[in-house]
Amino acid sequence: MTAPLERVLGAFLADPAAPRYGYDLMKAARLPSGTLYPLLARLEHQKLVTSAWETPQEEGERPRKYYKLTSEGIRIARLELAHASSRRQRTPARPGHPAPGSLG
Amino acid sequence: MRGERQLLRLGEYLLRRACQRLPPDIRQERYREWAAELPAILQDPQTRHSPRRALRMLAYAADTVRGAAMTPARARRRTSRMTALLCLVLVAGLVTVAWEIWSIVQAPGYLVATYQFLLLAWWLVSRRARARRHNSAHSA
Repeated sequence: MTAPLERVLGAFLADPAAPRYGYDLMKAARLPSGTLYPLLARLEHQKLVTSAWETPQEEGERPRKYYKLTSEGIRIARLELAHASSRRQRTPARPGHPAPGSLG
Repeated sequence: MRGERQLLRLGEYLLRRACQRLPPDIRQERYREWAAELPAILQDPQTRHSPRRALRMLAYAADTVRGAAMTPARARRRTSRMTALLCLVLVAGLVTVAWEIWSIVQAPGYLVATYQFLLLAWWLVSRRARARRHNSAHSA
């Protein structure tokens, strides 16, 4: 699993039930739009993420598209993040370098 | 924000450019989605300064152009182009080295230079041999 994917899944799992807009996910995952949107498209294609258009609150407001993890997506995201975390713990830290993923 | 409309227009222009790189069937939807984020970025209450919000919005639009350019098909094509370019550079390097060697070998003074080098080497070796003989004669 790539680091951007891990960040996106982590951002989704912070509140799996909450609808997330592209810009919110960009901020939460600290990813640029050019990386995030292709990832979201891939996750949607794999049916791990679903998207829908919001109903505008005010007249003239542009509806935004939001994304949510599907139930399968939640299951796989939790599994993948747990695997990534255990892989990091198994990786020994090099002298002078913190273990990958540690706060170090 | 002052100049918000112009900024939005610039952002929308960039997003239209991004969408031109996408397959036609998803262009319209992607444009709607991305363009709807522009006002949200410009009015983001978590970013205090308006110039920063403007920069963030332009960075969003510009990076979306980059992301749209990197669709899987384009990424594959880019890889093959990169490979072709690297091969070209490698072949050009080999040809240059071969040409240099050839021009040295073909140079008019090449035979003379080789002869001079051989003479110098012979002189150095014989001098060393003479010195060794001289030393052994004195020590005996």
